[in-house]
Amino acid sequence: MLSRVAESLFWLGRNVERAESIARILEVSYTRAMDLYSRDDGRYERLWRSVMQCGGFVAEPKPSAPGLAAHEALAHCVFDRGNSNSIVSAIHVARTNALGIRAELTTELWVVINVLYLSVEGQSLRSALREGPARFLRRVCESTQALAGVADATLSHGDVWRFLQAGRFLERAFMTARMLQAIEVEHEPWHESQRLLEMCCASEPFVHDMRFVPEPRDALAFIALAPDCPRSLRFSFRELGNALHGISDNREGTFGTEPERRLGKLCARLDFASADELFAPGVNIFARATVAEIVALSGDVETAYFPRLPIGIGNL
Amino acid sequence: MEYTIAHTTTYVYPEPISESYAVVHLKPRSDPNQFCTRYELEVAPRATVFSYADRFGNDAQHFAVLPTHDRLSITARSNVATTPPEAAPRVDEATRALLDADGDPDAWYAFLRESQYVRFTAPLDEFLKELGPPGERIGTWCSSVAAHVHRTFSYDKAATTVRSAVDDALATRAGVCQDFAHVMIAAARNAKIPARYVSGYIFRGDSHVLGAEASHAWCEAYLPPSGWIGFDPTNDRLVDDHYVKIAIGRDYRDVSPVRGVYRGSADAEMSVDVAMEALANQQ
Amino acid sequence: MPRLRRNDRPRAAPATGGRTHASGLGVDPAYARATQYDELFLPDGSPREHYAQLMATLAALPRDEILARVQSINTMLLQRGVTFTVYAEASGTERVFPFDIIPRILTTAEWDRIDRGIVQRVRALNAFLHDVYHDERILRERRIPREIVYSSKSFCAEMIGVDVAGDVYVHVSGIDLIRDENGTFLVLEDNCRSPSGISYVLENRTVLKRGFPDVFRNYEVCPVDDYPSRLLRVLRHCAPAGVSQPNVVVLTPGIHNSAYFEHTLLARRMGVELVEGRDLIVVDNVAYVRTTHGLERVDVIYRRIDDDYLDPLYFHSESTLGVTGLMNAYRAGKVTLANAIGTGVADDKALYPYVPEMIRFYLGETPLLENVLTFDCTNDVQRRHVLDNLDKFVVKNVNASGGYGMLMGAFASAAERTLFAALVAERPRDFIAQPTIQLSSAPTLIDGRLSPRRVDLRPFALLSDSVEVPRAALTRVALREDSLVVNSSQGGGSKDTWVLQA
Repeated sequence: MLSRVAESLFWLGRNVERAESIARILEVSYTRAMDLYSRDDGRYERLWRSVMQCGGFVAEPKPSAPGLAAHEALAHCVFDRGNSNSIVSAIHVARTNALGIRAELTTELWVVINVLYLSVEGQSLRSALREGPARFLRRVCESTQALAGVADATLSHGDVWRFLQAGRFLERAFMTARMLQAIEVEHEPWHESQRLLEMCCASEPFVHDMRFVPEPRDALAFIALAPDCPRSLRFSFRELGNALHGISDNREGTFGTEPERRLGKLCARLDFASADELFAPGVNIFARATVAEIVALSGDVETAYFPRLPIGIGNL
Repeated sequence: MEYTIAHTTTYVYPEPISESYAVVHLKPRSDPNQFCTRYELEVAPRATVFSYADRFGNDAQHFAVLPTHDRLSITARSNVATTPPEAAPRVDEATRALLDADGDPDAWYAFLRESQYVRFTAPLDEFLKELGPPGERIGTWCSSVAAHVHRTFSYDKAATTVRSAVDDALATRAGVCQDFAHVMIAAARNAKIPARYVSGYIFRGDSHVLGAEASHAWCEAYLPPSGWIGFDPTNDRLVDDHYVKIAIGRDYRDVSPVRGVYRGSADAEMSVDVAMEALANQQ
Repeated sequence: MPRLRRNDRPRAAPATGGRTHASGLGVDPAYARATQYDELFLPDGSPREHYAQLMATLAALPRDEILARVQSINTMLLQRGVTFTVYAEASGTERVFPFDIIPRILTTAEWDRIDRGIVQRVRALNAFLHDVYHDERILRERRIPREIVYSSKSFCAEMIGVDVAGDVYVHVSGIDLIRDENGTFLVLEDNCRSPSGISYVLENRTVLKRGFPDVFRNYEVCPVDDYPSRLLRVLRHCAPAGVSQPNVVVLTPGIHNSAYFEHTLLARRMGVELVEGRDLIVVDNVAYVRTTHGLERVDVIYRRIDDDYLDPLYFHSESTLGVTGLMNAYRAGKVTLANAIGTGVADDKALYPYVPEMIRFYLGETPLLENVLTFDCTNDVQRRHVLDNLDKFVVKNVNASGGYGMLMGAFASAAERTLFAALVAERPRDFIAQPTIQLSSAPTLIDGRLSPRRVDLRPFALLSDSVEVPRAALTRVALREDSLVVNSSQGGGSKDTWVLQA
């Protein structure tokens, strides 16, 4: 496959996944925040601050009248074109990548991407607020999920699909690790662990799996280690590994390329360490280290399959 | 005369670049008055060199250095034997009538038109007024153009750049051999006399000549009955066996010694060194 | 004559009833004063025989139903990304290329004449290109002034003496035809570089079939979707000598190009890779694509990048769209480019008047398709005539296309005419002039009724060892009332174009 095509597929996968994650984070938090709206004990602001952190947006929201924090978060995380992590940016980048490899995509997949793009482009903060942010965010989630489904159902499951998968699951692991990093469960063990689970689509599978009254720490362990929860770190890494092995055509259990080696180490850690061991230095520290590893892994994939060419052209 | 020439062009980049591609016109032509007995092109870092005959019959080479590098050097080594023309060019016998009666105007059509560096513009018209009309004796007129360029232009490397068309040189009345050749070519073509650009070398010997420290350039005009006659406006003399001809073209663009493209945003620092010696046993 | 299936004659209303029978859509009164040839209606208002069934089908559809389906077709086109980029507007405006649902129908007899005329013309154009880059016979014999060729911006000196695989230069061409007042087809211009529009032909048929399946009833329309496979066959045929399983790619300038949609469509339908310049690299005179598993050789490049941007080593040295060293590989015969470099000289508007001469010179034949009368502005007498009668001429800049750089004398303001007169006087080589031709019209759905709008016809020709003209032609339609310019950039749209089966 063309290196450029692989690169675009990888980033298409990452950006669609990012849009979905951010939309869900906002949707869940927006609903949760309603319970805190009238409080002035800082919990409301803390909640939105963590949302901003999940969205990769570092600036502190201004301490302002209640309600504004939500609007600011929406403005930054959904509509800010200057913020490359915002939903509009992610969808715009995803669509640009898709356009550049239009010839590799099925018409069905292209139409879903294009329709998602056209619907988001037509939105503004004001229109989203009028419609009700939850509805708008739900629509983004549903469209991005539909997109993943159409990709699975219509693309031939060769390298095109694998690079898309690689981007998707790398981003998913990345976002899950960022959520673990941003949300401080200690302050409000029940509420915050619940929010975290919902942000990972994991609250029902979690209670189903646990069969006893769980501790908040169990929720963190679940999100990191549950083998079958599609948004856990472990699940995401496994899918990423399958995609990378399919691409390199290396046998499972062998690690011929740099990204495979790095990922192998990450997986081994999750496979063989207990939650207590992993979280011993602090959940936040574990999460931050994982985020850093995923960033490095993304760089490894880039170097292995689509090395950057020097920019510019010179004349002798 | 027999000469040995080493022509080295070096590019140094402040940061690494990659995928350098170059086309070079460095191999001396072989024709009735000169014969190239040896030619080697050395490229560092190493590269496979390919040759092709361009549309003017020049033997051009090209190569590519693909891996990352921060220095590129190109050395052309050649041995050339030159002989003085059997008979001195009959410049003064050339007339408009002879040119008009010449058999194959199609062959030199491209050398009558404007080209990238050779433009018929207002500054050229001004310059031509100083010369007066060519009249019937077009060979004599060509000599006077070369002399006039030599007399009224100063040799100044800072006056123009390698990308300058004739206007720059005409505006400042200064330039280097490339510009002087272009000015003379423009004048000749404007007077409907076929004229072409020649790149090459001039042997310094003991005397002081301009343009000898690097590659040189001059103008050839088509003047029956002799045919193509070389005029060197830089030194106001006719081309003889002290000159080695590399390539001919419409202007500099067709025969630039080294032309190339690379990936990267760093600007190259270029240096050129030409060493030309007459072989001892000849003298 | 069109072939209608037996026992199923059209159920159209009697022709004498005027035009009002044309479905609930109604007919624009502008038709009453029309003097041009109309594709569908006879002067008495009845439909031509091969359109009668279509009119009957439309008449049976309620107006609102038609308009609702038009709406859904437009949505389909937008979602499928059948758009083009408008350069003059803010960066990269994507627009749906307007589609008119009333098909344009060509009878077998009409098409046969076009087919033969285009085969002849393309053979001559290709012979001219080979000649002008080799022996220059046509110039030496003074059939075409040498200066016109040498002064053409598209004449590529680098191509002199270069041999191309199979001596094929114009693998793909598009010959623009118009119809005069009598319905006679004339050649308006040739497109020998990389003519676009075939994607609209393919998409128009797809969406019309989806939106208005009924209109195909009782017609045997030649399919258009075999075009990509025909193109692929031509491209493979012209592979470098000795390559039996050539790797073909489509080279695009990228997503911002106005025809990008077409590039993706052709690559997809041919099943070949769509590449950008940065995906290719030339190593030792051989072209490769950069893949996730190393370099892979490329043998044939269907390139949709202009000559100037193809190789910064030989052409625009600042271009990042092209492939450095490609010209070397090409000259060495290691890669085939389709179309060849330098084909633009054959469709230079200043050479257009000489195409009939090319046909006579190279083929010894009489042109089957006539040119539009064209005045050469470098000729003093002709130029004076043009300048004295600017209001009757269309003046075209030979270096522009897409309807840019053009004066429609009859519609222009006095100031525009003065401006063009000055330009023509200053740079006569850059302009040609043609008398204003009344292009034929075809009924087009505007504001819910059938209005006469001017159309042209662009059949495409494919050349390998012979010329074939796929029955997939583009009809462009000028959507503005009275406009004679059909280009998409100037408010043009397109129609599905049917060639009826013999």
